[in-house]
Amino acid sequence: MGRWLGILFLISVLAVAGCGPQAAVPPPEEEVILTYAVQNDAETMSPNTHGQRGGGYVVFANLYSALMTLDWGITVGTTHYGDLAETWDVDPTGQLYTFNLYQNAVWHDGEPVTSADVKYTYERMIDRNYPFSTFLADVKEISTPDDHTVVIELTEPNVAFLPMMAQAANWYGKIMPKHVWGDGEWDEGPGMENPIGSGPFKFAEWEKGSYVVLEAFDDYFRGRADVDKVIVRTMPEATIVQSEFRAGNIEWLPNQFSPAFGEIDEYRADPDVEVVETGSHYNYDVWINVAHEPLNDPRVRHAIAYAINADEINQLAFSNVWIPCRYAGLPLSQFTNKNVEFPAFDPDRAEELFEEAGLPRGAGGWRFDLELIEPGFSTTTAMAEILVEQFKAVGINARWIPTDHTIYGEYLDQKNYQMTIYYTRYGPDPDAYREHFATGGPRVSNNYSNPQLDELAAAARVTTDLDERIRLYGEIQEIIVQDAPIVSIFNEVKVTLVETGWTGFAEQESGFNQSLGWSCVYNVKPPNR
Amino acid sequence: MRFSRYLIRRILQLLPVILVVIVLNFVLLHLAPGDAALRLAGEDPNPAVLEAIRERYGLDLPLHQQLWIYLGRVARGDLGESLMARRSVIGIIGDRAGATILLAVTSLFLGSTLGIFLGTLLSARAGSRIDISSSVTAVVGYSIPVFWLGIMLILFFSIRLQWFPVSGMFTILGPRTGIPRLLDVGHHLILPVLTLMVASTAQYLRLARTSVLQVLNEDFIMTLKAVGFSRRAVLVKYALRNAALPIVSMLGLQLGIVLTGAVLTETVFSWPGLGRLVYEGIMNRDTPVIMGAFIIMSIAVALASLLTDLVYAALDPRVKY
Repeated sequence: MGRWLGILFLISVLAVAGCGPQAAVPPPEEEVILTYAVQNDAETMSPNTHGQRGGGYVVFANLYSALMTLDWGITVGTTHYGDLAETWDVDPTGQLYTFNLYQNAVWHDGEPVTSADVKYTYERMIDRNYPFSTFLADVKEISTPDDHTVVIELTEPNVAFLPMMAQAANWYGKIMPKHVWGDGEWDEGPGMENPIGSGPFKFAEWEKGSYVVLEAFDDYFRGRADVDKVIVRTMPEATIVQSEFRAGNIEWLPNQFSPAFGEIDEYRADPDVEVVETGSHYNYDVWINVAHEPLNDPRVRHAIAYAINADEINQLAFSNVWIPCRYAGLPLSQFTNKNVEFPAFDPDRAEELFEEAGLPRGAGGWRFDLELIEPGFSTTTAMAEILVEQFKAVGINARWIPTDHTIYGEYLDQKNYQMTIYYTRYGPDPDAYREHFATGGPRVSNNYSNPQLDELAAAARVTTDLDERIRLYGEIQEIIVQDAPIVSIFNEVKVTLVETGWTGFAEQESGFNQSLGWSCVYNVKPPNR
Repeated sequence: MRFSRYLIRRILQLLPVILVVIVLNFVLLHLAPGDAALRLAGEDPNPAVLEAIRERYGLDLPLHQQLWIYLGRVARGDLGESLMARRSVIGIIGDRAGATILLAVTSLFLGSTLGIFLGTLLSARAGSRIDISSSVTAVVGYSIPVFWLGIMLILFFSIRLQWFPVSGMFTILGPRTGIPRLLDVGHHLILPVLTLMVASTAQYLRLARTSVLQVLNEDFIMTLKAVGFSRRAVLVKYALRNAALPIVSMLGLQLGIVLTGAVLTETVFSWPGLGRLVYEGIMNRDTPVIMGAFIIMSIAVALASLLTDLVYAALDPRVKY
């Protein structure tokens, strides 16, 4: 014991003696190192078996390749582009997809990437019901006419097949090396900690709970990355990540770590920091559970819409950075029907509608009780606090119930809430309307159902005629505004901080349509490159 | 012989305590909202995906069956496998325990030593200005939230003065072995230890001051002073030694408090220890990891209290086994 205490004491004394301005270890000459943070450690280095909490996705994006991908450039139009697929073709029936792979793609161990790897990966995912199988649900058969051609046949036409698989590739759907994993399970064995991918960076080191180091892969099929080393640090506390950014120890502060909106002007004034604002295909909406009384009455839902003052929320919560949005879609999307809008703020009209719906003010001035849940993001929390007050002003006895993301998921899964603030995703393909609003859709958490909308969404999914799709989705939006199972409030703006001079991050325009995913840094270049 | 029998009896007494800890934690964790299957299924899961996950991870079994399987495993020394990392929980805890032991033991040692030293000094000056102001400072120190204190220390010492690294346990791509590595870890250790030891220093200061002061008012101290013993000898050799029992018993209890504080400190400083592991486990609803960490921590606290009792006997000849 005494010896251990002595060692501890020695460490303390030596460490104190070593104090002074922190001397960073100088990197080898000219080596470009990019450091950034994730909130939680990667769980394994095997990417496809289950959903992760961010840390894994960020590492996998750089280690592995997908067949198709997309990045934040989606906000200006591109819903999908090739990763391993150099070219691709869809036959006129919309059921037969042919992908031609890059011929020079190799795994990090030097073996070539072939069509057999793609077939192996997708068939395993379908067989084991891994999360990506949701996006392969329509697959009838996968064939490989040659080493670099993959043909996927669907059971029915699905225009959204490519955009949706491209988006999901940001989470999972990474192509796995058949020669490494073979018949072995993907959640056991040496590949769990020493991964072989085909992405722009190869695995170097994983200090669990602390960081992952990746190194540029010399034989990457698109050419070697400009960044030599990527260090992904695990740092749960956003304030500390911001401190590391201020101290110049990390170069990129993605949206989840960005400071309070009120502090952004301070960063804008700093010449060493570039504040990047990126549009998003997410809207932040109020979702109303139509199975609950009195919320089952459309007049009550409209009254709620009239009670919401988006400008006030924007000013108080987002320093006017976000974009108030009353469309049932994205302000920038060609599919958005701008002829229909949710009601604008009008508290008098809200009160009239409540009276018409037979909800007069009763004891204490309250018309009815309402619970508002939210997932505990800083953005949704800020919105909830203000919304509750706006509802109280028109006589709704509203109560805010914060949750964490996992508990929130359970509320949604069980459709067990009255009202929530939700991030509605209107892309990458407008088939997202079916996911969110068609009867039994995977994201319908509020018991909403409208047979007419179901028919329109089914028709829009199978037609390849763009004008027809725009018309069909326009009608869907008319129904949504009329039924008001949700009320749109904002189009999200992602705020990212980048050390001045660095370019090519997914959120920057210089990264659009070439970043190979939201978290891939292949395209990133240091200052003066 | 009597001692070894006592020791065996005490260790056997730990078993039901640990069993209660396991059952209680297991039930509480499963009663808490949040479904690990939903977390594992990712975005937009098909019902088939969810079902496959529940089956693969044994989450579809009734709670009592899951508990029974778990108890059987623990009895064989197996804490199960992480739902997320698919590795053995013992291996995962092994990776993280060293960092927490270093942090907790260092801060407990430094906090208690400093607190006892200052408390003893102050007891000799009871009622003086320095005593009153120190007592007030100690109350403030004890009340400061660990989380806030950590962030303030970082802002001042790391960002403004740049004396210490902001976070982490070592410099990435820095020295890997030998004295440079020790120095590097020590340099990273200072702010987290300072954060964690403020509360325990304050607590020991108050405790030592009160205990020693009580002894100083006893008749035998007056006698010692009267026959000419030096002030220092009276204070250290007689007063402090006689006041040691409550201080030592606090040491055993303190480990639990320090481990709790470590969860927050490790989160603030991105310190890769058990506390952070528990935090991540909770966010992930990774029940085996949370359970495993709780069991290890409970055993550590139980052993610390056993050790306290043993030290007690060594210090006080009146205590018999």
